[in-house]
Amino acid sequence: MAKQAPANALKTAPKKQGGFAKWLPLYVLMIPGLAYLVINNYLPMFGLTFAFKKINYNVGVFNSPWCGLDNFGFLFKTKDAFIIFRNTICYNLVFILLGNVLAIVIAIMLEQIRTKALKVYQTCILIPYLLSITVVSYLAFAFLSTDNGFINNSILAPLGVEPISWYSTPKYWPFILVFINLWKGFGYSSILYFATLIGVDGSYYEAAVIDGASTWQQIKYVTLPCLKTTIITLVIMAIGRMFYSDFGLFYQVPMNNGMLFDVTNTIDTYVYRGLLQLNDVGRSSAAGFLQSLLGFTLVMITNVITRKVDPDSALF
Amino acid sequence: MITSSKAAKIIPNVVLVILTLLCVIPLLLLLMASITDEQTLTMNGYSFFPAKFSAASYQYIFKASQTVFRAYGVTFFVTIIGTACNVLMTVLLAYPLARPGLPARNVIAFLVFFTMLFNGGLVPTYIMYSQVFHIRDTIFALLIPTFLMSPFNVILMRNYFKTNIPDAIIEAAKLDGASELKTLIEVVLPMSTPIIGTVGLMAGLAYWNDWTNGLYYIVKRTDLYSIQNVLTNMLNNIQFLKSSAQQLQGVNLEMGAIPSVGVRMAIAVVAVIPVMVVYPFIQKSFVKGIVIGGVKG
Amino acid sequence: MAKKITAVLLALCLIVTVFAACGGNEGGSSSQAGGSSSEASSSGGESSGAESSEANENTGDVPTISLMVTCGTTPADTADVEAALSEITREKIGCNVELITIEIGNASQQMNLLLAGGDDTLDVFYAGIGTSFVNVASQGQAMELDSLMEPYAEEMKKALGENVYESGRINGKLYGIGRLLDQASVPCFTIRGDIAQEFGYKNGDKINLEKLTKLFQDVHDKYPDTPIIGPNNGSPNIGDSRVDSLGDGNKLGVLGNMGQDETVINYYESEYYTELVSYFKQWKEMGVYMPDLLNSTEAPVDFIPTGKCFGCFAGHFSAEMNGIWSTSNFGVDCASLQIYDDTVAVTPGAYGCINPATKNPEMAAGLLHLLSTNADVENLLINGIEGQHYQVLDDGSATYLEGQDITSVGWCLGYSWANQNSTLSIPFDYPADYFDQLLAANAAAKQSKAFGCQFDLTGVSDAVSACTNVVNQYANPLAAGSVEDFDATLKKFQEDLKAAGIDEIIAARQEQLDAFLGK
Repeated sequence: MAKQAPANALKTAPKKQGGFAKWLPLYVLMIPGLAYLVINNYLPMFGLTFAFKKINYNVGVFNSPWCGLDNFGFLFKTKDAFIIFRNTICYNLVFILLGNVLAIVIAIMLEQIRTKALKVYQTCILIPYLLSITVVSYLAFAFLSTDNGFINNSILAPLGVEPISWYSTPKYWPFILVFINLWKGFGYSSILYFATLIGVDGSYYEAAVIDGASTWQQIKYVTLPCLKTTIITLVIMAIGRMFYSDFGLFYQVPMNNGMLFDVTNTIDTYVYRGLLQLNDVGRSSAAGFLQSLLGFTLVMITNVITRKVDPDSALF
Repeated sequence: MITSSKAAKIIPNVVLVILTLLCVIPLLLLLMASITDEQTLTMNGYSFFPAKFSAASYQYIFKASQTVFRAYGVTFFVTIIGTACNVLMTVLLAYPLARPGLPARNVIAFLVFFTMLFNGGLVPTYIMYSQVFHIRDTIFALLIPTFLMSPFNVILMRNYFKTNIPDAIIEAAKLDGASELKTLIEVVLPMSTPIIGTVGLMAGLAYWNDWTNGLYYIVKRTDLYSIQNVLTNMLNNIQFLKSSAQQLQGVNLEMGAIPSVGVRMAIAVVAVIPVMVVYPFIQKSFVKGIVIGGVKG
Repeated sequence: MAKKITAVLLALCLIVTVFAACGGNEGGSSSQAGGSSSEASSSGGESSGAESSEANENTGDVPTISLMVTCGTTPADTADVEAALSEITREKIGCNVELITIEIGNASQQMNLLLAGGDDTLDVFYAGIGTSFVNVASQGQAMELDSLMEPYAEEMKKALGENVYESGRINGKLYGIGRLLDQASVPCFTIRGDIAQEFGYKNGDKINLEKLTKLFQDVHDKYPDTPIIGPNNGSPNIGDSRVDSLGDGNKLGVLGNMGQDETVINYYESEYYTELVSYFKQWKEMGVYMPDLLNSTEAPVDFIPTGKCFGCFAGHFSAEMNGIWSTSNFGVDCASLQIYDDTVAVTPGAYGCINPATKNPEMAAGLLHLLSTNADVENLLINGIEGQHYQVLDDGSATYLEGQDITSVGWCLGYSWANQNSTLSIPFDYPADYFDQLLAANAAAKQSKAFGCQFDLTGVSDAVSACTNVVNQYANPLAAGSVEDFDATLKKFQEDLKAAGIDEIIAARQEQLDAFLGK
């Protein structure tokens, strides 16, 4: 891919005979942003080498000895390896799929509201996003607690159902975690889609209505095509994070309860628990490096496919 | 805007009302928990109609009211300045990347995207900012690391420019002799208020909710703590002292007097309310951008 | 309008470009810094002495040594205490002291960064608070102290005890000065005083697991609606003083028989643990655990006074003192019952260390000496300034000034993990002989054979990560009585530990212990 991109640039360059001078003002505009990326993101990337080093501060991080792939071993040490990778990937797939569908549906609904209520909706659905995950874990406990939780006390008890011991029953947790993740994130991502929708040129809809399109047809033939680029972008970016997980969601919300590890242990929680005592920069860098590398590979594959199918929507 | 029949309009309203309730009810629960007497909370759990009220949580938070209000001030300052710089830099980087034909634009877009996947980690970033740029214990420590520009927002904004600003409009402006900057400011930006509002919102929330920069880079100058720093520290310390009390036998805290669960809830309320107040004003930008010039895509 | 924006843009560009230019030098300068700091520490005394005199000239003033102190919340009067402390240190070692307060909840994160790569913000710090002493030393974040401490060694050994002073050795070299505090913890059960009295117990009484189970049964029969065992520190927190857990909370490899054995064993397969599990099972069947114990967000201070739950397990050097502490902190009369007869004294948990990046190693060493031996210094750090932060009562103990309390006092750290020698301070709101009792308890405990042995597990850290995850998965649910089938879970627990490589850890510990014992 990295090869392909400059090749493209070369292809387009001769076409624009105006040459470099023509584009210079645009490059100048980019300087602040690029400079910041260099400082904030690229310079610290020397830290990526930590993944392959045995850090000794006495000789300095630059002169620490290399140790090959030793730092990666702990991720694959046990049979937990399968569980943590499976959990991380599966949850992310569900989050990406359901999260985007939900957000698009809500964005389309928001777009149809023309009353003052729009402001209220827009403000309120963002609330969950504003709460810290610690607070969310307390709220979850308020609902799920065995002795005085809402669900057991106020919903199941009147129905005559036996109270459920939520925190010691793994089978409920995939649903609980997916629900909480969607609840926390849908406001944010639907606003992203909503912003794109609002920018859609009204004449497209006018034309569709003149052609006698129903609401559903307008959505299908006007709205969704306009959202296509945004959808693809957000999905590709989410795929890049495929091997990461929201630490708070998987650690704090299930209260680090050992009974639930089969369905709550992800790469990040495993690394956290395993390295808490060791405080090992090399190993935590190694875990991060692997997560990034795998995500990067997936993104590259997705991007190549996107480029084949729809060049305009490809990320780069 | 999608045109639809009366009947079809009811559905979105119904769904959104339900979702709104789903989001507001927990906040209400938080609010009630924060003014519930701590003992009642321990005995009966959370309730919308607590048996006994108490303002102890808020008293605890605001007992050092000077600290809290100064921290609010710091946060407002950082959020406003930071968001302004963030939006500016994002626009300036995203706009050229959206222009068809710009040489090497895919390479640059790739470099932007790359930073979302790989990062050097906290330790190298800290070493760089504290020992090369010496921003520790200054206000820049809250402003610069991590939040000054987000590659995610750059890509979002580039997409918006790509799909919503027709090339013809830009070409027309250039034929009129406008410079790149003038085209950007006078033609493109007025059409882009929704995305500017969104990016501003994202950046603003990131600054507002951030406590990590303060934790990493503020060591001595605790007067520079943001409100989130003050609140998270309160939270961490209460949690720590209450839970490891037996290991810290000597810390003579009259811990019975400190409400822990209630304070958490009160802290969440104190951190969220200002956003709820300010947000509706940001929403004004979420209206259709104005198209200047007669050209339509 | 456009002009204004252009101007702002230009200014911004300029600033960022300047930053970028500085950034260009970054690689070079910081690697240089890394190099020079390693030079300084490897060439030892002489060159660093030269540096410190240079630092003297540069500031034209007394140099400043920064010292880490841990606190609950950042105290208001740090500057006053700094000034009072500096008065003493200027006279004794010729430097001022700057206090870097680390809020205890942030300690792990902040220490990790402050010690990273050549940062001399902290000259003197305590390893073991949010960090691990062995790792700090093996990663080169603590200076080798043998030659620096030589002039003070005898006096410090006398003040701290030779075993404590020597415990900071790793591979024969001294990297930190052990903290003198309680070395042995007595597992005890804390229960509301009136309940204890009703069933014939009082604070400080001894009890054993069998009698404790009987007590649970009696209390439960009389008050069937109130659970008896609540969480403490997020878990049931049931300690076991019959073994030396070798500085590892997860007990991956322990010394049995009060640390008197010389063979490292697998705790989770030992009869100590299987016996405990059989009690967990009984307690669960009796129904005395608090429901959702593992997920409760409440601390004993919440649920004991409210009567939601009668008690919890705890640990302290003396059960009696634990009862006194609980009573004063929970605001309700509490009794703590000691579970095992004997206790084992184990390696200290925190060490005063000197940062290799410091410019004044001699003065830092002098400060460590003062912290170990000077009562005024320790008292200042722990209780603050007399008359401003505390008063001394007739019996010799300290307390708040009239009208002050924890919320209004400007300095009240209390004695804690991160003090070199807390026993020199005046007991605050404790009996005046509190520290004498603490020292007596240390002396009375059986000293573990592994006292002072620092285990370095970096060689088997893959196994440590894996086993830590396994212990996290099973130990607390078992102890909290929240599993259905105890025998099967225990079996699975043991199998998973084996698969995760606990035998490697035990072998590594055994090898290091053998070397330590001179075998």
